[in-house]
Order: sequence, then C-alpha cells, then structure tokens
Amino acid sequence: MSSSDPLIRVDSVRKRFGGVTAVDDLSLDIGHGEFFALLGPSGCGKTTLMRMIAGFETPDEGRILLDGEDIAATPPHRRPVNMMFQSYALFPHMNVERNIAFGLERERMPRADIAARVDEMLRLTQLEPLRRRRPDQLSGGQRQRVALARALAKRPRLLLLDEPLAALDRKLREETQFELMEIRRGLGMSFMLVTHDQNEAMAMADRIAVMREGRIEQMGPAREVYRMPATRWAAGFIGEINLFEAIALRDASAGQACDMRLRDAPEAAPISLTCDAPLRAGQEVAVAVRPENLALRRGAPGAACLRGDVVELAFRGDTTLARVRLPSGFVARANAPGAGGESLTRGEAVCLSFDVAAARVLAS
Amino acid sequence: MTRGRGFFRWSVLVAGFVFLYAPIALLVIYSFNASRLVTVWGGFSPRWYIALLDDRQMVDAAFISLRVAFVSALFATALGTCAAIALARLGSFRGRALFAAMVMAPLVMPEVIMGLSLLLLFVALDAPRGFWTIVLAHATMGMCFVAVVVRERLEGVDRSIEEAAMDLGASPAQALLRVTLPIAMPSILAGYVLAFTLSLDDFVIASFTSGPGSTTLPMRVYSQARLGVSPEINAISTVMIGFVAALLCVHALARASRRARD
Amino acid sequence: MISHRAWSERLVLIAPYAWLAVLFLAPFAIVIKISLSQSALALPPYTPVFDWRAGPDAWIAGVREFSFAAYASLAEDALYLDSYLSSLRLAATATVLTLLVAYPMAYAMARAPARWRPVLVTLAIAPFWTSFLIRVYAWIAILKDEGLLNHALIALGLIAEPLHVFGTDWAVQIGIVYSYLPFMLLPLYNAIARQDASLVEAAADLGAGPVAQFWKITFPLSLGGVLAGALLVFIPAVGEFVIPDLLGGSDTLMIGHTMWTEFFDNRDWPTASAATVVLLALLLPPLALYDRSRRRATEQPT
Repeated sequence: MSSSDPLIRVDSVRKRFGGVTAVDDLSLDIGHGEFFALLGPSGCGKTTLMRMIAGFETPDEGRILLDGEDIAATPPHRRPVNMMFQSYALFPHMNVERNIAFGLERERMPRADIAARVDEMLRLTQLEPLRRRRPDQLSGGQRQRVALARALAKRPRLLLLDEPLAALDRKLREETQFELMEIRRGLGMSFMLVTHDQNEAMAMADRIAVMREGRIEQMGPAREVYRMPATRWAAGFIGEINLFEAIALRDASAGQACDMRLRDAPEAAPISLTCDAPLRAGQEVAVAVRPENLALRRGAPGAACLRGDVVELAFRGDTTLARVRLPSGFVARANAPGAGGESLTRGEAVCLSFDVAAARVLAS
Repeated sequence: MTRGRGFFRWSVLVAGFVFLYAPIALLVIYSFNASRLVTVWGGFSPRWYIALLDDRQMVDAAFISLRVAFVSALFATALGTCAAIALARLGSFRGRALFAAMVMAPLVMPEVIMGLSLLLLFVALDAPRGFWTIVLAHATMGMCFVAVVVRERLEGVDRSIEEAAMDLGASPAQALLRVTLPIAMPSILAGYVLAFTLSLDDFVIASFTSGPGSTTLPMRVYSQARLGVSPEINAISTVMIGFVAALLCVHALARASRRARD
Repeated sequence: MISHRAWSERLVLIAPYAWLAVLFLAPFAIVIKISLSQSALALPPYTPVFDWRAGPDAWIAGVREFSFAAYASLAEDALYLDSYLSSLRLAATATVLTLLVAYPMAYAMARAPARWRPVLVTLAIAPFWTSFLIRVYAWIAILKDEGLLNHALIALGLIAEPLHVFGTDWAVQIGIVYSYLPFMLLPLYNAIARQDASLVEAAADLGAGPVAQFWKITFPLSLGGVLAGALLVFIPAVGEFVIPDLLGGSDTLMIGHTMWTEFFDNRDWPTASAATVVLLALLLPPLALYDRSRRRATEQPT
C-alpha cells in the first residue's frame, strides 16, 4: 500500500445479469475519509456496484482494489467493508446490543472490548435506553440507528449505505442526514452512499457520481454537479432545470466564449457563454438555467429578455413557482421570491432573464 | 342488512365447526359409555380404558408407534429444515425445479402410492422390514411437511439478513448457525411436532413398510375397526387424540413462555 | 457467491436431495420395473426382470424380457377400469362437495373480526392433527343403519325408516369431505383474507350490490385458492384407501382399495405395480397443475 492509492479503486468493472448489463465498464475512485455518493434512478446499476464492493456479487470483468490490492478473491465476511442494508436486515432474534456486538464477536474481540465498543456505539447513536429491545419493538428511525451502529461497530475502512433514509419520513430524514454527517466527521472513515434522492446526495456527499444505465454520466464535487451539469440528462435528473433551445452563431473551441441566440428570444441580442465542448456554427445546443437563477419581471417590453405568459402559479411559502409559457411552447419554471411572486396573476405577460454566469451550455 | 349478513356468517361458522368437531366429540363421549353398544348411552364408566391396559398387543403397538414417531421426526426435522433453507435461501441451483417438486409431492401424493413404492424399494434392497423401514418411510413423508412449515417462516424473513451476517464477518456456515437457524427455530420445533404426530397417526404407509413384530398402533386400531365399532377403539382413539392435544398444548405453552421471557 | 458455494450450503442442499432421490424417486423406478415383471408364486412374488448389479449385457437381455403381461391383465380386467373411473368420479364429486362446504366457511372466517381469525384458523387446522384413521372411524358409529344419525333423525320424527348411508358411495363422499375439509379451507381462507378490503368497498362505491361484489370481485380473486384447495383434495382422494375400506360397501370401487387388495390379498405385485403406474400417470396432470399453482404462489423470480 502506498499513501497515493485511493481507498477503493473500481477499475473498468462490468457486470451482466442474463442479457442485462447492470454495470458497464465503470471506473471510479473513493478517497480516504471521503463521503462519496452514487446517485441514479432505480435500475441504473448503483446497487449492483455497491454489492460488488461489499463482495455479494463478482464482477464479470475489471478489478476492485482496496488500498491497491485486488479483493476479488476475498469473500464478503473477510472484507473490511461494512454495509447498512436498505431493509436494515436487523437480526430479529437478537436485541439491540447483540445486533451491534455480532460483527465484533466474529472478530473474536475480547469480551470487555466488545462491551466497551457496543457502549460507545449506543452512545453515538443515542440508543442507550433501548439496548435490550428487539428490532420488532423499535420504531423505523430507531431501527435505522441500530443498523448504522451495527455497521459502524467494526470500524470498517468503508461504510456502504444503501438508501439509508428511504424508509424514514421527511422530517426524520433531514435530522438523520445531519447526524450521519456528524458521525462520519467524528470517526473520520469513508462513506459510500447509494441513493436515488438527489437532495440526499447533495446534502451529505463530498463527491457525487451520477449513474445512468450502468455508466457514470457525471462525477464531481456535489456543488459542481449541481451548478454545472455535464449533459441534458444529468441536468434534468438533478434538481429542476430549464433547458432553453439555442443555436450557436459561430464556431468555438472548448473553453472559449461562444455567441448564441435563444430560440425564444430571436430579436434580442445574442448572448455569450463559455462552453466545455467545441461547437460549430449552427449547432443546436441547450442553455440550462436553474429556476432560482431565472429573474422574473412584469411586462417590460424591449428589455433583453425571454417574453412569455404566466400559465400557473404555485405558492411555496418562501417563494412562488411560476410556470411561464414561451412563444415556442416551451414552459419555463422560475422562482419568484415571496414578495415579488404574490402579486402575479395567471395570464400575465412577463419577462424572464438570467445572468450568463449562472447558465450552462449543454451540447449533448 | 349488515346485521343479517353477520348472523349468516356466524351460523355458517358454527355449523362448519360442529361438522368438523362433532364426530370427534361423539367418539370421545362414547369411549366413556358403560354399555358395549356404541350408539346407546348406558352411563359413564372408565371401564374401556382399564380394559386397554390389559391389552398387551395394544400397549406394545403404542410403544412401537411412539418410538417410530420420535426417531423418524428427528430425521424428518433435520432433512426438512435443510430442504427449506435450500429452497428459501440458496436462490437458483441446478435441479431446483425437480427438488422443489420432490419436496412438495408427498403432501398430495396418495399414501398407497408412497407406501407401495417404498415397500418395493426395501424389497429390492433386501432390507429386513421392521422398525427402521417405517422410520425411513415416515421420515421421508415428514420432511416434506417440515420443509413447508420452515420454508414459510424463512420466506417471511428479510432475505438480506444472511448477507448482513456475512458482511459483519460471519462465514456462510456461521451465518447459517447463528442467524438462519435461530430465526427458524420456532418453526423447526413446530415441524418436529408435526412430523411426530403425522408418524404417530399414519396407517397406510406403515402398513406397507412394517414387518413382523413392528405393528404400529394405527395398524392395530385398523384391524379392530374393520370388525366394527367397539368401545375399546373409542377409548384408544381418545387416548391418541388426548396425547396429541397434550403435545400441542405443551408446544404452544413452551412457545408462549419463551416469547414472554424475551 | 453464485459460482462457488460454501460447504455448509452444499450440505444443506445435498442431504435432502440425496435422501429424496433414494427414498422418493428411486422407488418409482422400481415400481415401474416390477410392473414389467411376470408374477410368480414366490417371495417376493415376481420374477425379477434384471439384476442391476449384472452389468450392461445382462441389462439388455433383461429389457428383452420386459413383460407387459401386468398391463394386459389390467386392460382385460373390467374391475380395474371400473375402479379408475369410479375413483375419479367419487373424488371429483367429493371435491365439489368439499368446495361447497368450505367456501362459505372460509369466507366467514376471512370476514370475521380480526381478533377472531387466528382462533378460527387454528380450529380449522386442528382436526388435521388427529389421526385420519380415527376421524374416518368416528363416522362409522354415526352413519350406520342403527347409528347416531339415524337414532337422532328418528327421535326427532324426521324419518320413520333408518337411512341407508353406511356402506354406500355417499358415505365415502361424506368421509372425503370431512377428512379433507381442512386442506380446502386453508388455501381458500388465505386467498380471501389476503384481498384488500377496500376492493369490495370500491366496488360498492361504484354501485355494485352485495351479490355483484361477491361474484365480480371476491370470488374471481379467490380462484387461485379454489384451484389449490381442489387439487389438495382431489389428488389424494383419488388414491384413497381408508375411507372406502371403512365407510364404503362391497360395491364401492376405488383404485387405492383395489390395489391394496391385489397387493396384500392376491399377492400379485406386478399387477399392483402396474395399477400404481397407471394411477400415477392419471395423477400427473393434476400434480403438474398443483406444482405450477404452488410455484406461482411461492417462488419469487430469481
């Protein structure tokens, strides 16, 4: 092991089930102490990838390295990787304490050490008063904490979290998110989260891999993935976004500013945006803008803006979401801050504009 | 309207359960009949039970049946539990469909077919027929019932618990011993009780597979019942019913107290 | 995990598999083999067709000696044909009767207050734990000409002459209905109790009356249970021995009984074996159907 090795390296891994390719030539690294999230819709292969890291599935091709060593031949019970199951998979015939101690007993840890570690885990997850309860005597949130404590007790190099919050109600979910982050900071171990919930991934992870059909669509720090989606699909999957059709007015190489005209603002002056990929003149692209970055003003004819009519208004407390139909028929979504949104009415003509810094050009 | 339907449902239930239990109740009642006539009540008397104790053959047969049931149920429980784990937990394997069919078939297969085919096997193998051939036959029948009971329990339990055990460092064998078996234990015990009573009650398969000197209680009862109804048969039947009922009560109580203890 | 299994998993699989192969599958092969032998006055009472230890040449010679005499005697003997037909008829009628008795009961059980249901289910299963033989025997005292039923009916003035039920096919059918009722009750109960109660409410909300609610919603959704229950009664009833022997008369023909007589009294093992093979062949379609319905109910797609 050299210090430059990542904790986990997934190297060109492929896995098929029957005729379906669940994971397709996928590579990624997880660093020491990193909170990594695999984000994708159900069936995208994220669970299969996680199960391969845990050892429950074997890759058809490619390697999985832990600290630089191939762990293909290591069965699940010898891997320094623990998993928190989506169903929690608590042992129904053991109480909370015994569930948490199970993995430590398998290591033949001395009794006193086991007791100390179990106590520590119970404290960490605030389960001390429930230590003698059985899983069927616990609430969903309590069960979730037992599953977490059980998986953490062995101090794994990497903790795998399979949709850890899916079974919790909304309020509890948010609280638990913070708890999870706090616990990880305290222990300093690596976490890998598998989820279909982009908010969950955004809130907790340092880095996110967005998966689609067995491949990684985009990978990067959480903020970057949100602010700078790489493809239309990734943009649409993560959060709400408006994709305005536009046409490049001249050739541009990657990283260069490029003038383009929005289809819904033909008379307005062209806008200039930086793009990642080279563009040709006349190429159709999408300009992606998050609803919160769309400014909405009344009427204001003549201004450089996208004109449209308000078709629907949804009051959301701090903001009002307006759906605005543009001349092409495209319905854009814009968030108007509380005070501005409340006076809007349906059918009203409005004008949408955005700061080019908050917009992104998507060629694919 | 609703009240009328409720009344209809309860009368159906009462009539149905009377149909199910009246014959057994009558049999038990008439075992205490002082009269030898089985359809005329001649006053209460335990005389037929006392007569039973003197019936050497009946008592011997009862002990043979108990021994057969005890041993065959052990085999049936071990094999049936294995079969249930294989079907509920091992996913797909070669020959699974055949295996599943073989595990389920004895539940519906007419007993004469099973009895005859097992007898012909024992003859072909030149195995002396007696205690052990009945045990083997009953174990084969019983394991299927045990498998059904245990499998139902296992299928009600989250499939990932064994994976969780392995993830936490248990080898497959440890996961089996420390997680799967303890979880299935109540159903394994219930399976044992079921296999025991099935063996104790079986007449057809035992008739085919028994040999001289290994006549079981139901075989003895049958040979007398063919001659017509007699109060002695009522008495021995009542004893058998009472024994099984007691067994079930002990099982249920043990289960309840274990649950209360946890 | 998929390619290689741990030794514990192998053991769990191989032990019951091997046991069933030897004590369930192999016996059928032997039955088929003996059905192809000639009957003989000996012990065992047949001439072995071939000795499986003798090697391939002797096997081929043995195959040449296969005798279909037993099957021929089956075909010639009207007793067998009648037994098969009568068994199928009696079992089918009794299955329908059992369904008619069990359905209202299962329905009432499934719609009973929730706290009663476990008790009712236990009550429905409990008779299964008492000896089959004893339960059939109990009906002799009830059905006989001078039995409890006739006593009661005459005492109530409902009939003047005792009903002659004992020793007829009716008694056999009553015996089958009674003995196999729990097997029908359970699948029906499960099929009805599993239904979402709001389905019937939705039907009522959409204008279906009680009759339509039952025939359009509850009954169609319980058909899986009807099929499973019917097969659980029909298949073993076809081969029933104890019920026709104790409750039927001399003119009651059931194949299980005929086989038994052939085997134990006439000691004609080849013919009894041939009769078993034919019975098994008759039961294969319903057995396959049962296997399929069971698999649909229990096996998850893997």
